[in-house]
Amino acid sequence: MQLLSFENAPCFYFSADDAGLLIAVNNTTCEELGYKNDELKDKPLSTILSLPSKIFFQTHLLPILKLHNFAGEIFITLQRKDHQAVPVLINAQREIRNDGSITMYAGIAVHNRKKFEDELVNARKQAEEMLRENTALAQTTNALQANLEELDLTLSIAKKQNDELKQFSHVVTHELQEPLRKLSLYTSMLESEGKQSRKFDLESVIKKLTRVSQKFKSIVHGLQQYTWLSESSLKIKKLDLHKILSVVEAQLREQFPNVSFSIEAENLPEIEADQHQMIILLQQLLSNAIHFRKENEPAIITITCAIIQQNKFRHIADKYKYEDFVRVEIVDKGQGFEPEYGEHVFELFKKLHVQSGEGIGLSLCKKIVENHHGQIFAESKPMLGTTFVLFLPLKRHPLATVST
Amino acid sequence: MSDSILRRNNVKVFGQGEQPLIFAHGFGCDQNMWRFVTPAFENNFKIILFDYVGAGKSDRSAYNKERYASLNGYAQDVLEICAALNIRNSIFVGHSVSSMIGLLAALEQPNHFEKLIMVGPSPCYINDDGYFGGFDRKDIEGLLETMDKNYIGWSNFLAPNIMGNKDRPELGAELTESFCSTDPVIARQFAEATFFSDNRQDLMKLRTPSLILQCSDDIIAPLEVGDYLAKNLDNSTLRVMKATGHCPHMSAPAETIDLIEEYLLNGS
Repeated sequence: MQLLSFENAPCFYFSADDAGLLIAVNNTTCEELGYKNDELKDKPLSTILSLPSKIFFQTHLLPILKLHNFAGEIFITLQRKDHQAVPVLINAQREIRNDGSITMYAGIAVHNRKKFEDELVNARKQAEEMLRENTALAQTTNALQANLEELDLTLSIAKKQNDELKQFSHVVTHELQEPLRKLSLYTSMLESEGKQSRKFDLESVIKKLTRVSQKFKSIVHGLQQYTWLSESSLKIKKLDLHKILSVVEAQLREQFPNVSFSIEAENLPEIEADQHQMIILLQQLLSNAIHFRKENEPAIITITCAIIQQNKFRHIADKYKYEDFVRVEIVDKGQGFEPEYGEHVFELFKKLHVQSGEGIGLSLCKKIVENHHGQIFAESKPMLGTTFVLFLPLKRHPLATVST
Repeated sequence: MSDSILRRNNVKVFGQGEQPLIFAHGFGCDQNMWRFVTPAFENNFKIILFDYVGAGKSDRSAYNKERYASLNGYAQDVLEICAALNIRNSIFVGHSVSSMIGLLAALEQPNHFEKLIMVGPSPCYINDDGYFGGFDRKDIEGLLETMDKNYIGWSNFLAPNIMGNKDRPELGAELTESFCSTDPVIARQFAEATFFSDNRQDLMKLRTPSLILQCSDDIIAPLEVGDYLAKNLDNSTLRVMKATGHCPHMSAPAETIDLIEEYLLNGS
């Protein structure tokens, strides 16, 4: 029986090594692509691929061949010497031999089939386009999207108010109970013991009474600040965070006249926010860092910012809209705290350090960040310092400019 | 929550080491493409493999057109996996588009990542005024057409797809194998998210040290792109490989392993 020659067989037939160099190319391929016989030998296989097919080859075909040694019915576009495209359907088989692997490709031109498939793909695109362009549908989709965004916002507000209520009732039932209990204790001491004993130390009881009532006052003051922040309506405008920071830094120099501290900030952007609240936010975070510096060491604070994109939907599952947020990182090398306190530092009247103030500062910060639909996290290690990470939206959602 | 994420992304964790070494596959394939590289690191690292939602054996019902319209959604996959496994200071190895996905993830949560290793990265594939990415818009449109043609045999491919269709029937096993299990609609959107992405503005924000593995003849990420990255990424090390093509981890695993090991041992 006569051996079949593939040189002039009515198909494309060629092989290449793993480095992508053509080893053999049959005459039909050369002729169809406008090359002389042998002209393609040792040339890169990519010579005869169109640019899109080169990408497809690298991202799809080669990985498949490497993993499975076979790929079938693959549509690619070969490129003639005169740059005309030839649509081809190919099978490829990779063989591992002693002297390296080779891959054999066999294909047929599919000019007519391509036209038919083009029609199919176009029909599909048109159907899709029609669906998309259906104005009623588009309007409903837009309205739905706006409603969803509003709903997500409402959910944020509801959740925030609920959290606040819980914290409030905690303050009322625990934090305020304690000084109240002491007040009544001391007054009853005054009443009973003061009558009986002359040795009774009136002065010390009065001192205690004063201290307790001051504590009471400071808690009420803190609560006032906290509620004021929730009720005051936000005045949103474009702010240069660099300017805000220099205002805050001046305040801090007054607040800590004898403390050595430095604040380094880079890439602070412009954001749409409430100026007053941003000042309080930075003021609280930075004074915290200065307050809890290491003993006998200056406070060194670095602020870095980067614009990233985050999903603006926080509560509705499966809704995504990525918008620009600024990620602000405030790092101090101060005393730090145990990492397990992480989330609790933002709770109302949570004190981690004995010498701290009323314990309202960080809860104000959280509230301000949430008023702006952002997020705040704290991370800390004792003696290594604390890092606060804030995510704040760069642009203010029009719906959100109403009082929250 | 964390279990469902690990199932969703078909996360595999193995190896005897402590430090996490995450391998992220690129466009067109799934975690299988790392199989020639991972054995070299099993003794010294905790290896983490996963499939992006929509690829490989991930849970396709979790696919969301809005989320995965840009690389941000893919970066969120990475961050959610890191959170589920409570990962800190990992080494993230990303192939191709996963390099930029890793970069976005590292910008949002730097603590998860100690080093980024980018295999064949590009911050922008399309040529722009004074920037050479290697492609024009029409080349990418040609790629999308090639992909469409290769998926034409798939059931449901011709049905118009406007919202995420969760009821899509399971696809034939044979075709599924042959395209690294990527669904046509998802693959097309991933191609668009990948090749129309432009992360040039994000490069200078990265503070995590990075290794750029640049192949010597890669049409998808040409040498100019590697140089551009090295110039714009602080703390980066550029290594031009002998390997050619876009998948050195498959075509030249030994060289890929050596360069990664060298970088991890000596730093930059």
